[in-house]
Amino acid sequence: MLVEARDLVLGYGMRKVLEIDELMVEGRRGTIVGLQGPNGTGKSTFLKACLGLREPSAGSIALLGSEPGAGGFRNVLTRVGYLPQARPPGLLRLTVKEVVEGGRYGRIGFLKRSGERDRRAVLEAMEETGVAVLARRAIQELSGGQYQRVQIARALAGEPELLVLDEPGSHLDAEGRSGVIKVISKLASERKSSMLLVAHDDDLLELADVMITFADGAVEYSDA
Amino acid sequence: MLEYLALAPFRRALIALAVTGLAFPALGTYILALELVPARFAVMHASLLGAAVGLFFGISPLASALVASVLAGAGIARLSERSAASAGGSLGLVMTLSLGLAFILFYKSDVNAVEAFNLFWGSVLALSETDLILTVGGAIAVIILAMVFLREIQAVLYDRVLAAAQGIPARAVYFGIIILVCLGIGLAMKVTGALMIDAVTILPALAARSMRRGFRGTLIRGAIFGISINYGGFALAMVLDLPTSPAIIVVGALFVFAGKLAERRIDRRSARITSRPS
Repeated sequence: MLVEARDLVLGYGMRKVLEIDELMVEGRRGTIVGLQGPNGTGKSTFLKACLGLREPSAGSIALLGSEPGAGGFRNVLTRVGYLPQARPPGLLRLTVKEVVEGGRYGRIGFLKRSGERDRRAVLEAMEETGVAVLARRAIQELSGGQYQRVQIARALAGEPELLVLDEPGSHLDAEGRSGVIKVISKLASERKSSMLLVAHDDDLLELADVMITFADGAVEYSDA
Repeated sequence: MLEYLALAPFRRALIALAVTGLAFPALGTYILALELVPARFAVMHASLLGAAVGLFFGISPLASALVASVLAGAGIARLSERSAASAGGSLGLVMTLSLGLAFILFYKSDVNAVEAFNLFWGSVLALSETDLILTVGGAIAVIILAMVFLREIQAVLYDRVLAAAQGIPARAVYFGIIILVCLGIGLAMKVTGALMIDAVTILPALAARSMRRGFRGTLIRGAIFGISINYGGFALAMVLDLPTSPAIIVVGALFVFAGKLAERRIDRRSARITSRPS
């Protein structure tokens, strides 16, 4: 089971954003779940709740069979690659390679040294997303589209079973968006990555096998 | 110069400058990455209150200032979890309230305000044995924690949400960083004086950041610059008969300018490489 939610209520303070009685999203390897709906209907909040970044006001949610806060949930997170909505890089001067390597930290674990497999996974992720040539550049020097591809490479570096992508093409110029869409389409066809994909682009949504539509504080599940 | 080595305050100063130069630029890197520059003023004021409380109860003002720094750090970390904007007003409150309470203590007791304010005007040549032990201990803690938790610290400085989403205990690491920074500020106050604290934290970190070759490189370069700035400033103060902390600041500023020049050269070189036809 990719995602399972029961009697779930998500909100900010007293404001209720989303209410789900029951949602079961099953998936095999390569299943792409599209999440669509107008802004403010709780798509990103739902993804954050799946990852344990936002606590539900009520009810339960489970990702890959484990609930946030449960004993094994940390291990679940090491099997997931997360790409949040596009935002500019912070103030820490990191190279592209360091950012992508960072995507592997959860998998390497505390006090363990990185090995050959880690180096290979980082290199493959950078090559797949076309950012290997930028490896030594500082992230603050990149364009929005390049930086978003670096973030995708970061999510891939952990060799995730599931990619959680929150509007990967948004806030980018046309060229940046087209580059990101190409990378995600390639991941879907070649890597066969399972995805939870929030998007507004039709080009991205047409990759989905099943669709969850968010509207009026509720969700509707359908085959794409 | 060698005859000075026979003097205990001189030896203590050399040791303190070495360990703070080595360790505290890492704190400067954390301060810059987490945008804690305004927060450190609140910590300084909380430390003053701590020192006043220490003097009131007859305990070491540095030790009580450190406790106050840590408590202020925990409070700041809690505030900044909500939002940077809401933290701004609260920091102002912490600053003014700390000062107000400190002055009430000075007024209502026999505490000598000048002694508490010595923290603000601290001098590396006035360090006591206890001050030195605390400073060395703090510096060693900063270095060991940076080495052991390098990956976790980098992940949290880069993006707390992403770090949490990959199973790193981001909240605990974030609180740890803030408390360490506050502890470092408390210790550095005695070495350079609160008003010149940036000399041993932010200036070497800024110079190192200009070279921008990644996180580990920034930390290592910051440590090298930190020691060079501290000893360079100390030597300058000795030779020209200047106060130590301002001399360290002047040398630190020169390093920052040099770093900026190096950054421009790196920019020009990478622009040439990018524009070269393939």
